[in-house]
Order: sequence, then structure tokens, then C-alpha cells
Amino acid sequence: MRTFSDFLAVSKRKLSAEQLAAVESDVATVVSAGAGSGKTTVLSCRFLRLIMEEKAKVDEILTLTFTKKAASEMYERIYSLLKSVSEDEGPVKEALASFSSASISTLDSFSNEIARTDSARYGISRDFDILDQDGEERLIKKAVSTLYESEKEVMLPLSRIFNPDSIYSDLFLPVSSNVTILTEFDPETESNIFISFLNRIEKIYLDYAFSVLDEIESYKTSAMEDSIFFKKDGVEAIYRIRDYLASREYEKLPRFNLNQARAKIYSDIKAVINEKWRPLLPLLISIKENLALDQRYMRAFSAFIALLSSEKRRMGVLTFSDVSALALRILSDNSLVRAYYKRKFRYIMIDEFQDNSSAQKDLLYILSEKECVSGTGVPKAEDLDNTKLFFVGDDKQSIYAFRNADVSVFNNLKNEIVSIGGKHLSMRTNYRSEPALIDHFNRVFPHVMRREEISPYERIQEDFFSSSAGRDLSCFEADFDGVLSREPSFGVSASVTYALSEEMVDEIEEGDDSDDELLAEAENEAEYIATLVMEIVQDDAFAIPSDSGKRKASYDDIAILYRTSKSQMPLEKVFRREGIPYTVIQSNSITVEALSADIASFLSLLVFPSDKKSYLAILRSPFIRLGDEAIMSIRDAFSSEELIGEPFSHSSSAFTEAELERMKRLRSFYLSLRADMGRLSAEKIIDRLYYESGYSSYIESKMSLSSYKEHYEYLWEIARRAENIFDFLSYLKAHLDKPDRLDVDLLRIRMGGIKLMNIHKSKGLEFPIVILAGANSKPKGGDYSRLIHSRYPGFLALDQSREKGISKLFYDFERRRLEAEAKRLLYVALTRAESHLVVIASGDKIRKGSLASLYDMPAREDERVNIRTFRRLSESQIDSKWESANTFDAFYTKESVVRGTYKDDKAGVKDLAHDNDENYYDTGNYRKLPDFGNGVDELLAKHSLYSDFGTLLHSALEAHFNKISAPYYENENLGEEGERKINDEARNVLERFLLSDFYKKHVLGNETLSEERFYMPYEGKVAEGSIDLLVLGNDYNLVVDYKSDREMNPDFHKGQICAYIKAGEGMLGKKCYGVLLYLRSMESGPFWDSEGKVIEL
Amino acid sequence: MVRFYEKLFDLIDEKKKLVLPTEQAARSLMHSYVQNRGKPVSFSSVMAFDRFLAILFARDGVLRPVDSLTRLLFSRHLIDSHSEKLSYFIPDRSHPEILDRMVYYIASALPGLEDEEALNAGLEKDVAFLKAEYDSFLREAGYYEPSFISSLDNSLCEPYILVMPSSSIEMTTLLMRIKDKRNILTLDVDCSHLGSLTLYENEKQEIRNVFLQIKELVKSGVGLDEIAISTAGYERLRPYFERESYLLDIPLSFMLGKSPLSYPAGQIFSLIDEIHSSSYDIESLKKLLLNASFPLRDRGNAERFILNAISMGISRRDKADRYRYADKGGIYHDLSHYVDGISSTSDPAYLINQVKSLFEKLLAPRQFEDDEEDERVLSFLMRLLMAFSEKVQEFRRLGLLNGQVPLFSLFLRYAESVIYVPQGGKDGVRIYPLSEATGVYVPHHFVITLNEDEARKIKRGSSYLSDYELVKERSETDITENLLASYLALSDDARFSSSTSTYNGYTLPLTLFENVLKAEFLPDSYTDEHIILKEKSIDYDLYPLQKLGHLNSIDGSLSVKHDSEDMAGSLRVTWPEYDKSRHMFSSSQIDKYSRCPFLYASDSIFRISDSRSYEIDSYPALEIGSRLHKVIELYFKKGGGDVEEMVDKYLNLVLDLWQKRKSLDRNLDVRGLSSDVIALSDEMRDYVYSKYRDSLILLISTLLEKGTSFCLEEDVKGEIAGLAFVGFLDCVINHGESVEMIDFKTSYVPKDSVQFDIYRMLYEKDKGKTVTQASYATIKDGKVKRPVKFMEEDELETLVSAVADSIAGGDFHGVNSAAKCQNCQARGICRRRYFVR
Repeated sequence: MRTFSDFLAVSKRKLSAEQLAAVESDVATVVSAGAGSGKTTVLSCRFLRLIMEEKAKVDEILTLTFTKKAASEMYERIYSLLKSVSEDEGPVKEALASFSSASISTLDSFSNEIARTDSARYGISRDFDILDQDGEERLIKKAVSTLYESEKEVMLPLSRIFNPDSIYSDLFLPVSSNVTILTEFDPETESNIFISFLNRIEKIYLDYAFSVLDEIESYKTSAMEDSIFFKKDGVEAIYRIRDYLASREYEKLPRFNLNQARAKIYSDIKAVINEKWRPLLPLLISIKENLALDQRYMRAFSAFIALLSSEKRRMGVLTFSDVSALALRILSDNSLVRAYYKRKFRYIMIDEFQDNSSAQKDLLYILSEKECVSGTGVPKAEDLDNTKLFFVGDDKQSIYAFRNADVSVFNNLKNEIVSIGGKHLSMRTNYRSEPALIDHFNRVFPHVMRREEISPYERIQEDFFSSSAGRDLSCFEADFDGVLSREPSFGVSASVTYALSEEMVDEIEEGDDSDDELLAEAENEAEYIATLVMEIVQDDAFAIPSDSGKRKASYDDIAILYRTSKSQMPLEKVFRREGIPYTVIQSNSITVEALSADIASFLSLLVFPSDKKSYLAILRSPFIRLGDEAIMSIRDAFSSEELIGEPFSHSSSAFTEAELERMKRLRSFYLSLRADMGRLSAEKIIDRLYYESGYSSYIESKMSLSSYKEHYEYLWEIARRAENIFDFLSYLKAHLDKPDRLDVDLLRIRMGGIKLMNIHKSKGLEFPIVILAGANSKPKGGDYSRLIHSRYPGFLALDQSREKGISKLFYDFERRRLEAEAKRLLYVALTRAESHLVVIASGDKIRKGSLASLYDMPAREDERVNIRTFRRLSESQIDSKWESANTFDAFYTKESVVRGTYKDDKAGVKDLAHDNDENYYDTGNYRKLPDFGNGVDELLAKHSLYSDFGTLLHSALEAHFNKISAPYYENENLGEEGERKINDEARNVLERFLLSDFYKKHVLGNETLSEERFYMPYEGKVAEGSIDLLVLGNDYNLVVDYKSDREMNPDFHKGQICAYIKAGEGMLGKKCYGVLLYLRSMESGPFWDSEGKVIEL
Repeated sequence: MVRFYEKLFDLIDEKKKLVLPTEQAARSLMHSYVQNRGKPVSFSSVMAFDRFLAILFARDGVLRPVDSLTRLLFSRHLIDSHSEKLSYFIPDRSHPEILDRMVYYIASALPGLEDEEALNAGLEKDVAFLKAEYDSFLREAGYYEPSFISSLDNSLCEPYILVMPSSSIEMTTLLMRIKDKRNILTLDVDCSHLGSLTLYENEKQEIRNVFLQIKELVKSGVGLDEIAISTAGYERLRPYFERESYLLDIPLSFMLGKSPLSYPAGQIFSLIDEIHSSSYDIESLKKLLLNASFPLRDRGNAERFILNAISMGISRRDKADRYRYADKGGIYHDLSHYVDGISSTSDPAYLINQVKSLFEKLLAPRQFEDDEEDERVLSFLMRLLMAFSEKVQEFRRLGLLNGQVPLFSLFLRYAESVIYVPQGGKDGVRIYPLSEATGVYVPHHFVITLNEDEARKIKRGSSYLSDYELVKERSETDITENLLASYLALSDDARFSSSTSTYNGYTLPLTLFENVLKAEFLPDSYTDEHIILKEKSIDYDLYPLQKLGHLNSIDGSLSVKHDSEDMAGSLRVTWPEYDKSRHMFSSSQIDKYSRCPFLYASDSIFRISDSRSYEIDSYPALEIGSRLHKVIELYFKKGGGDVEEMVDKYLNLVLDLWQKRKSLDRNLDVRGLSSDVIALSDEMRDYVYSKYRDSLILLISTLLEKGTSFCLEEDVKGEIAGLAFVGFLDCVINHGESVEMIDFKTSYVPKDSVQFDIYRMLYEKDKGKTVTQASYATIKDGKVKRPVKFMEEDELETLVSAVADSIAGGDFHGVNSAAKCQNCQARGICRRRYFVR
């Protein structure tokens, strides 16, 4: 296969015309690619084309994705595609060989690479680490507490507004997420910027206020009773209002009492007052209040930001936003780095660009600057190389505003790229979903995504923010212009079902069983979904395409998506109960359930043995499950401030035998874990706790409890990241009872079943059947914050007014963006479905702000949608479904599998020889040898240093033979004098040795090997030994073993020496003898041959 | 025995000297030689590459190899004395914080300084300077840098044969660098065929399945010593391996130890630093003083100190060093003395002395003697500290280390990089980092987690620099294929595997394999335990841990409780000691019981709210409320006066007292605080003052508008439904024959409370006056709320008597209501709202 066209001709995957246009585009291109339109195919084929046409080498194409997962999938896709194009030689083969150098990554990790090139210029060590969220929070808390201590005065204005808890969460945490390590925050300047912002915004709204007044006046007719509007003075009052406005006495402005103005003639004027005048007042008052108040708190901000940055520099750590900022700054400032990366990449492809920020776009623009231009900062569109960039995105799928993604960036990009001669292409065909679903989308989304008209008040905001940001921010809504569909799959009837609570459709009469508590909404919905999925897997109506036509759906084919985590736990519970297999992608409810609380209690009691609360919790937990009577009987233990006595040592006559036994056993288990607190890692401690206590068996015993199995895996993962049990416990306690999403991805040994995930996690995925659960639930509402932090005007300040007018301005601005994002969230959710879609809404009416509020009307109007209803059940109706314990003792009583053996065949020659030396008979009559000189023996006895000294002598002799410097023995217990004596004596021994008859007769003049180590076979084992001195003679070799013993008892060592002799003979292939040399007297023992026979030498 | 080994045995027999990549490989070869040929073998005939290098470099034993500590100290010296000359590496001098970090960067860059990459001009200058300084240091101090091969005398290579050089980065580098290769003999494995790779969906599946395969081998009689695992993610995956070892009962032997700092004795070293650098953060102190694995001399004293500090609200050392007041047993005194000394000294002898003294003072006389491994680690660390100290002295003698540098953090950094190999627990399946087992014969070798990123073993020139800093493309040598081929050559049964997602995220399996097989799972009783139970199947292996857990649960959680139904979370027992006629009731008890009987039990019977706190409560809401009450009480009881002035005065008074851990009692006399109340911090004081001052003024002014005669904190007693009650009224306004009752709340007004109903009944009976209305006043906004609607008297009596009967009957069941359970203080001890109850 030589050319890309050849590839297209033979490839199984045929590209459509619109896909081909994208793949073949050779100029800067923005591709608007709808859901299911084949983005990954286009990107990977374009990669292949660039390689095949030799436009670039593997490492010259930068491919960026939004998530790590997408990056690795892209990597694999491209690699497989290249591999499928088999070639003996040529560019593809070359590309495959060098594929490990391909740059396919997320923008974050690419920024990380750039940031390291020149971070030192900004005071950051180039081997910086990335801070995780916990680490960042710890750093911020530490900075806040340092400021309280060191900068009391500066913190005073803030201490009065924020309590020590909220100052972290409501103030400094958001402050830190709005600055980076490069932020230079000068309080004076910042204060002036804020004041000038207030002045500008005041002027704009003041002008607007006058124009509203004009409007009010224009509607006024003589028939109106002036007093209703203007109290006493009629028209003249308008002038007074103008005066108030002109003199900025906003607090005096009237709120207009319209209660009495009921006549029709008032309707226009009332509308103006309600819609335009009323929102103005608090804003104007707030602006004035904020202008009047002093801005000294800016000094605290400044101190905090400086402290945070300096701490990061000291520790060498950065957050992801620091890294992004740094990467952008380096590319802006450092011409060498800039030139390098510009040169390095000839093509840049970016997926999911709608989820990127303006800073990220800037970075890509820099990389695409024409080679001939050597600018700084962000290049203008006209300075871009118009062949380099290739963006793929879908404004309808932008759902990451909370991570600073900005859909207006993508929307504006299209125009800019076209303006430099690039292309804007669209891929409108959805290959994923059946045509019937596409038809439904085409009916629903024009309605959902229609643009609401904005009020003049809001229009001013949009304009103002855009002018502050220096770019158009108003295009934050996505357009839906219809989707084209593929051919339907044969024999499958795709379906859309909209299931609502009965209350929403029919008038429900109140039943008489009012005492019976009704299931909570999410629980009720979960019950319904469980019956629904059972229907799906049994009913042909939900059949899906298969290789052989169609087949019944299985649990694996279903995904349940939701916007808020409320839906998840009830679903898990019901699925477990019903034995419906499922996999959750992220768990939310771990810390509000018993397992976490029980583990936290046990760990807490390990750390604090007098923690009453934890003790009581454990007594009632599956760890022991003490009876109530027994617990009640030891309540005196709880009567004082501190727990009386050691945990699990309490008992009374109310305890049964079994309970006493359980207490005893748990106590010893508790004590063994306590002793291991610092020895075992946190995850090992909880493993012991969970498995050995029998908690895991308890959970296994009931299908309905088995979701805890997965909870445990999550806890384990968190524990693994903690440095020790203390850190894990404090993490757990901080999250207990709070339904936080834990930032952990779990791997599973067995996957499969229904997938449960939030809509964000479903992005980029597709499923034969999608159920959108909890469509009628609303996300947690935002709140006005005192801290004003907006990316657009780019400042940090406090709203100090009571009316929250300024905060509201910002809040409204963000809110409109979030509302637009909700539409896109619905789009993402629904377009995940291939064959069947079910949307479920519970409650008594559609709630504003929910996804159902967008979907309800157009869905009901689509006649092909199956509308279903479901009932609200009571607790008693499902109580019987929770089954009892399920045990199977026969399994647990069988023999457990063997552990295996370790066949150790290694040993030391000495040990083996002494273990069974048959030649040795201990007669006990040993000749005592003389003391060492210098009074050394006294020291050795006193400090038990015989073996140390023996080693020293060996080393001294070895050093002599190996011609290295002599060892020096140090031991501070000996003192200087003692140390000197010992070392002197070692030297003396060496000298005596060199003067000895033994040395002269047997060593001098011969070659030697000192400390010769070896392995040898010995009684079926591999034995290790070391010959102190091996003298290489002409006729025979001699093994010399030094002894510093106090008594002469050569027979004891005979076995060992004989083994050494054999080793010597084996290694050198020459006759060998052996002898012991007693270093105290320089006497030798008998000379032996390898059989232990004494010989004369 | 594999063929490649036979070749090596022959070479040994021919008296050739062999060099293998690692010490383990050399020993493995000799071991096998002795086993197979039944002959002894000298260590001088087979050696590890680093010993071989030492022979080449040592030049008559004069030079020593440079180690990480020496590099670290040299780098410290360089940064302290010449950082200005490193203008490329440290271009911006306005952030001195960077210097400490740069010490570690430079230390790690040193071995790569001889790499022959072309550098840009600015960089070249810095690198040349570094290299010159380093060379001169090495020369003067008598070291050699093992990676600086250019200075080698390669004539010494001749008698040696390098075995499998292409599977070792170090050997490959040597071969590349040495220009004259005449003296070098090599023997390599054939790497033309790698076999197949088994691919798993994720790492967890992969690891579990490898362990299950090992279990199968063991069952068939293979010894644990005949099996080894080589893994690309050794450090990262260690906890997962340890876990599988625990679950499946397969002992493991990790061939690379851990930092000694991860053992209890080492943790004390790290904690000294953590405590000091966090200004004695209470959480760090807890880690040291509440860890039962540390054999503390006086544990009780340590715990008391922590509790005292918490009750005084001290979370870190402040300027006034308030910890001193919490320190009854002197533990903080000693600890801070030594910790400060250790952390700040630049005298190595003093450092050792202080560390020893701290251990003696802090720990029991036997220290870690009760656990052999812990004791060995402590001696290991002390030896490390001595070696560190000697090295520091050596540097000082050479005039190379600034006398002012605090040594302890430097030592810790060094200790972090040191590996301690435990003495015990070696009799298991060996686990090697990917390239550590090169040259080792392993009968059954699992080479796993071969994912593209981690498994690639590539020698990169000047790896301490970014790509853009190199003028030409970086030199790279990828030895991965040879490495894997060497495993294949040295095993009877090598199995390669990989996965597509890891605990770190997503990944690509190593692309070197021609043949990729999809993994098949072995049956596993942990994964399928629910199936075993449901289908009553015994066709699975049972592990000892499962058996143990099951036995324990049969007697515990799986046993049926004999006295009450646990699923309801109720405590329903008879309570004979309870005597209705002698019990003194309060309205809050009735309210609490009505809200939740279990909450009542936890509070009134188990007195959970009296527990001492182990965490500092940063927002003591209850205490704030009671102080604010006192301000109003003081105003009315101390004769009124100008509201603003008096509120200022009294609010300051109560807050001042609180800061001094004092309080006003019912008679407005000053009393000490009980130990469970946390002292008020300065910042909280500012906050309380600013938040409540104006609203207190507003509230008092509103009250003054309501009347002229006030009674505060009045107590009433009496009987309702035959039960004795007592109550304290916050405020009663006299209107002649009738009165109005006001109850102060800090922020929230309770719903469904019987407080006013009970107070009214008691008051009317006790004082003989009619209560016309009762309202709550919230201090937060200074407003008096709409009056409450009173309950009918007989209705109240019925309610009260029902509650009293239930208490007497021991009915303490937990309610199950999302609204009531939210933020309930007894949530942690109640099981009602949990799925597992």
C-alpha cells in the first residue's frame, strides 16, 4: 500500500464525504463534529495520511485530547491504524518503529513538559512536582494559619467577616483557585482596579437608570394617579429621582409601591418598573457601599498569595493551573523554547476543543505562529501558519464550564480560522444512533437549544463583561442545526420512552395508608428502573442490532446516566438486592454509609483508646454486634468524661457466654492492630480490619449488602494514598457523612453489567440503551459569594455590601452560562444512545432548572415517544424484598489451599560444618591462649566486643594483602583512649604476624589470595564460604584460617577447614591443605588434607 | 537448565572471568553452576558489573565510587558557594526559595554530565562549570563517578567477558562509550523472538490472575523459590502485590527494600522534621505521641498533653508558645528542646547526640528491642546518621560545606533515597523491578505490567535536560527488547503480560510483541464469593483468610442477636433502675426524645456529648451561644445603661474571659472552664465580636421597647403529668398580672418544641401569673420572632407522659428520617440510616 488513496480503497471503514473533507484538509481547519460523527476516525485517518504522504514524521504531529483516557485511546487507535497498513518499508513502517516518540497527550501533560523547560527563570525548580487536590488544600490551610499568626493586623478586616472555618472554604480556597504562582498581586493596584471597575459599572448603570426613568416617564399618562407612583408630588418627583441619581443618593430612590396600581393602564409602566428599575437599585446601592469601604483586606490577599507562592517555590510544587500559566508564560517570553516547539510540530490536532479555555487557545496559537515571525506574547490570527492547526469540537457538547472551559472560545475560533484562509467544516451525520433517535433529537433540540431573549439589563452585563475581557463573551449558547442520520439497522425498532411519576400525569387521590412512609423520590425511581431494566433484558421491544441481525439486550448494553449523584446509591442498592449486575464509574456515597463509619470508628479507637463515641459505635457494629442488653449494662463505662477502662475489657452479667468470648477476641485483635499502627501501612491495617474481623464475610452473606464490597475497594484505594493511618483517618473523618465524590478511579477484576455514571463521565462513550435517571432533579444551586472572582474583569475583591448587588451581577452572568450548559448536558446524555433511550422524571411537577424542564414539552409533543407512568411506592411495599442472610458453610469448612514451600538450598559452610561435624568430640580440655597486648582483652570483655575485634583483625590482615589502607575501628562507647588501644593492637597483631615463623615459613614469597569467597556443593546444598588466606604454593596450596579465639580447640573447626580445602582444590585444580592460625600466639593448629588427615608440612 | 546457562558454565570451567549485570545475576549463575556441575566456584570468576567497574576505576584501591550522599553534599556546597555561576540553571535570583530544591536537581544531574549531547551556549557554560567543579572535587576527594567512563583504562577489560551487555543500560553505555573495543569480549542472548504477550483489561485483573497462576504452580509442587515476578511498576504496585500476597496467602520476597523511614523508628525521624517544619502542628504531634507502635516512655502523659492542647484550642506553636500550658508532664518541654536542636544544628556530632538523647528521653528504656526488625532499622538509621556525619566532616575538612547549613533535613533527604533490605521474610516468591532480574535464572518467571510507558528501558543522553536544550536530537538506546529476550533465555517458563489500563490511568501495552493474546480468567473465590454462596458451589479454592473471616463472623456479625432486633437500630430494653418519680425532666429532654429516642439515649444515658474531643472544633457554636446569652443577662442584671456602651463592655468581658479559659456561672461569678470546652482563638474572637455586636444592641433595644420589668435566667419547677420538671427561662417581661416569655437563640428557631408549653405550665403554677405570649429572639439578626402558639394543657400532659413511659420502658429506637438524621450528632453511633444496620 503506497498511498493514502490506496488505503481508503481497501480499508473496511469507508469515510463519508464530510469525513474525507476533514481528513484531507491541508489548511488550518475547525471541524464542528456532532455526536457520533466519527471524530476519532477523522483524527486517526488524518494522522495516517500525514504519515503516508510524508508530510510529517510521527514526532512532528502533536495530538491533544481533553482526558488521559481519550489520549490513550487515541494513541491506540492511531497505532492500530498504522499497523493495519502493512508495509515492508516506507514511512508507515518508519512511523511504527519510532511510535514511542509520538506526542499524543492531554494539554495538561503537554503544558507540563513545556513548563519544565524554563521554570527556573520564574523561581521554580525544574524538577517540580504536581500538587494533588489534598496537597493543595493542606498548603492553603497552612498558609491561612501562618497568616493568622504572623500577619494579625492584615488579617483583622477579614477575621471580622469570615469565621476561621469559612475563611478557608469561602475565601482563600476560591482566591487560590483564581491565582497562579505567577500572579503578582499588589494591593494598591488591585484596589484601584476594583475601584475603577466600580466606577465604570456605576457609570454604565447610572446612564441606564436615567434611560429607564425616561421610559417610565414616556408611559406615564395623565389618567394615572400620580400618587401611586410618585407619592405626593406627581411628575415633579421624577426630577427628584433624577436628583438622587445625580447626587448618588441611591438609598433614597423609591421602590415604587405598585400594590394599588391594578388598572390595565398601568401594565406597561409596571413592567418597566419590575423588570428594569427594581434590579437596578440594589446594584447601585451596592456599588456605592463598596466604593465607600476601605480596601485594606487587599493586603491580606496579597500576603496570602505571596506566602502561597513562596511556599510552592520552597517545596518545589505546582498546581495544574500553575503549570498551564507557566507554560503559556514561557512560550510567550522565551524565544528559544518558543522557536523549538514551533519547529518541532508541523501539525497540531486538538480534539474536544469546545472544552478548552482561552488560555489554552493562546498556547496553541503560539505554537502555530509562522516560523518567520519571531514575536512574543500571543500572535494575532494573521501571524498563524495557516496549515498547522486542526481543531475538532462540538459546541453542543461543551460541559466543563466549572473547569474554566469556555464555549465562546470555540465559537469565536471558527471565524478567526476562516479569516486566515482556513476552513470551517461540519460533520453532521450521526453514525451512532438509529435514525428514529436522530429524528427525536431533531425534534427536541431545536426547542431545547433555542436562545432565550435577554433583558436590556442583562445585555448591558454581557457588553460590559465582554469589553472588560477584551473579547466577545456573548456567544455562549450552542446552535442546533439538525443532524443527518445513517441507514437504520435491519430489524431493530429504535425507541424513545419518557417515564414520569403518576402525579405528573394524573390527579392522584390520597390513599388512606397515610401512616405508611412513602419511599423517597430517588429510591422510588430506583425501584422503577430496576423493573424497567428487567423488562428491557426480557422484552423483544428493546432488541438491539447484532452481527446476525438483532438480539435481546443484556445488562451490559445498558447505561444509566444522571446529572446529580442523588440517583446513584438508591440504584446500587436496588440492583444489589435484585441481583442485577452493574458497574459504577465513580462512587459518591461511600462516606455516608456504615462501612466507612465503622472503619473510621475502629481506626479512631486505635489512635484514641478512650474515644467513647467510637467505642459505642463499634459495639453496635458488625465488628462485634453486641446485644443491646449487654451494651446497656456497661453504660457506666461511659458515665465520666473519659472512657473508664480499656476498650473491649468491659463485661457484666448481662453478657452471654458468646458475647464475652467475642469481646475477648475483639480485644486481642484490637491490641494486635494497635501494636501494628506504625508498622503496617494504612491500607494493610484496614485490610486486616475488614477481612480478619469477618466484616467482609458479613457483607458477602447478603446480596443487598454487596455494594459495600466496592465501597471497601474505594476506601482501600484512598488508604493506599495516605502516608499513614493518621492521615487516612483525618481524611475519612473530614469526609464522613458528606456525600462527596471521592477522586479515585477504581479498577475491577470483573467488569460488566449496567454502567452507572454521571453525564460528564459518559462523554465520548456510546451505549445501545441509555436511561437518563433523575431528569427532574435539580443540581445544588449556586450561592452569592462575598468574594468576587471573575476571570473576565480579572480581579479579586470582596462584596462588602448587604444587598449583594455586585455579587449578584457576577452570579447572574455565570448563571446564564450554566443554564446554557444544562442544555448541552442534556444533548450529551441523549446522544449517547444507539438504539433505545429512556428518560425518567420523578416528582409531582416539573422543576425549573432540571433537565426535564428542558425536555418535557418537546418530548410530549413528539408523538413517537412512548409516555409511561410509574407509581410512588411506600416503604412497606418493598420491605419484604430485602432478603435474609445467605451462608454456605460447606464452602468455608473445606480445606483451604496450601501455601507452598520454599526449598532453601543455600547455607554457609561454617554453619553446615558445625551442625554435624562427626569428627568433633568435645573433650572440654582446651589450652588457654595468651591475652592480646595493650590490655585490650579487658576492653573487649567489658564492651562485649570480641567478635568486632576478630573482624577488625581479619580486615587488617586482608588490607595488608590487598594493599589497601588499614581499617580504623570506631566505637564511641570506648572513648578515644579505648579506640586508640584497639586500633594499635590490631596493628601490633599484623606486625607480629608478619614477623612470625608461620608467615616466614608458609606465606612469605608466595602469591596469595585474601578473603577468597566461593560457592561449593556441600551435602546437597550450595554453601557459601570465604577463605581468609589462600597461599598459592608451587607444590600445593594452603588454606589459612585466622582465629582470635581465647582457647585453642582446632578440632572444633576441622569440618569447616576440610570443606575449604576441598573448595580450594576444586577451584584451582591443585592439591591443597589447610591450617588454623591462632592470632593471639601466632601458633598454628595441625595441617589437614581435604579428608581431615593430619599431615606434616 | 536453560542452554544459555550451559554456555556460561562451560566458560567458568574454561577459567574465564564473567561479568554479569547485577550481583544477583552473578550469584544466581554461581549457584546454578555449583548445583549443576557439582564443583566449587570462586567469586572472582563471576562478578557483578559494578564490581567490575570498581576494578577498572579503583587504581590500586585509591578511588571510591561516589554515592548519592556525596553527590548531595557536593551539590549543596555548589549551590551555597557558587550558585551565581549557574546562571543558566538559576537565571532568576529574586526567589531564593528555589535554591534548596536546586540542590537535589543538581545532585541528580551530576552522573549525566559526561553525556555527549550538544548543548546550547548558555547551558554549555553552566554544564562545563559543573563538570569542572565536580571533576576537581572527585580528584581531590578520591572518588570516581561510575558513569564517567571516558577516564577508564580499558586495557584492564581483557580477561573479562561481559554477559548479556545489551540487556543492561550500564553495560550498553560502557560499550558505546569505550572507543577502543579490542579488549572487550561479550556474550549476548538471541533476541529475535519474544513470543507472545497476554493482554488484560486492567492491571488489577492482571495481578490477580498472575497470583492465581502462581497458586496453580504451587499446588502442582513447584517451590516458591522457583517462581519470580518482574514488574515494570515495582514501587507503584508494591501495595497491590502485598495485598494479593495477604489475600491469597502467597508469601513474597521483595528484592528491593524500602526506605528505612517507612518503619516505626524511621517514622520518628521524619516526624521530627514534620513537627518542626509545621511549627508543631497538632496533627503532627498526634502522629508522634499517639502512635502505639512507638514504644513511648510515658504514653499516658503523651495522650494527656495532646488532649490538653486540644481542649485549649492550640493547633500549632504560636508566639506565646501556649503548648507550655498544656504540658503537665514535661513531654512538650523535652520534645521541643530536642526537635529544635536536631532541626537547626549544623554540627554533625551535636546532631547525633541530640537524636540519641531524644530517643532516650522519648522512648522506653528498651526502645525498639521488642521487635527485631524495628530494632535493626533503628541501628541501621543510626549507622546511616554516623556515616552522614562522617561524610559531612570530610566535606568540612575539604572546606566544601558551609558551616551554617542545618543538617537534619539534608540527612532525611539522603535517608529517603536509601533502601533498607529487611532481614526476615525472604522465603517467598521473588518480586523484582523490571530490569533487576537480568541474568538471573528463574524457572517460572512472570514478567508483568509491560505497559508501553513504564516498561520501556531507554538510555537517554543528558536526561536531566529538556529536549529543546539540546542542539541535536538526543541520543537514545532502547534495550527493552534485549531485556525481555534475556528473560526468555533464562527461564523454563517465562510469561509476559500487560494491560490496557492501570491504577494510574490508561495505557498502551508494550508494542514489541508480535502476538497478543486476550487473557482468560482463572476461577477466584474472592471475586466470585457471591456466586459460591448463591449457587452453593464448592468448585473454588478456599483461602485461609476467607476461612478465618468466616469463623469470626459466625460468632459475631452473622450471629443472630438474642435480645433485640438490630435491623431497626433500636435499643429496646427494660431499664429497672429508672424511677419516674425521682427523675428530673426538662423540656429539652422531651424535645430530644420526641426527635429521636436513640439520640436521647446516646446523650442522656451514654453521655456521648461529654466525650473529650480529639479534634479541634474550629467553630464552637454552643459556647458562642452561651456567651451571647450572658451579655444580655449582664445587661439586664447589672442595671442596664446605654445599650451600645454596655454591649461593648459585656461582650468584651465575656470574650476576654473565654480567652482566659474562664466563664461566668449562674450567679455571674467567674469560674474556670471545664476541660471539654475549647479556648477562644483571637481570630474567632474578632469574628464573634463583629458578627454579633450590632445585633445584640438591636435585640436589647427591641426588648427595652417591650417593657420595663425584666427577669433573666429565672428557674421554675413543678409537676406535669405527675412528673417533676425544672426549667430556666431566658427572659420574662413583666406586664403586671401577666408576663411574656422570650427565649434567646443564636441563629435558628426550633420547630415542634414543647419548651414554651412546659415553661408556661410550670410558670403559671409556680408563680401564679398568666403567661400571655412567648417568642423566640434570634441574636444573629437581633429580631424577636412572631409569638408561638401554645399547646392545650391536656395535650401536653399526654405527650409528656407518653415520653416518660417510653423512657422508662427502655424504648430507644432510632428514627429513620432524612430530615431528622441530617447533621445529627449521634449519626456516627446510630445504625438506623445506614444500609448495613
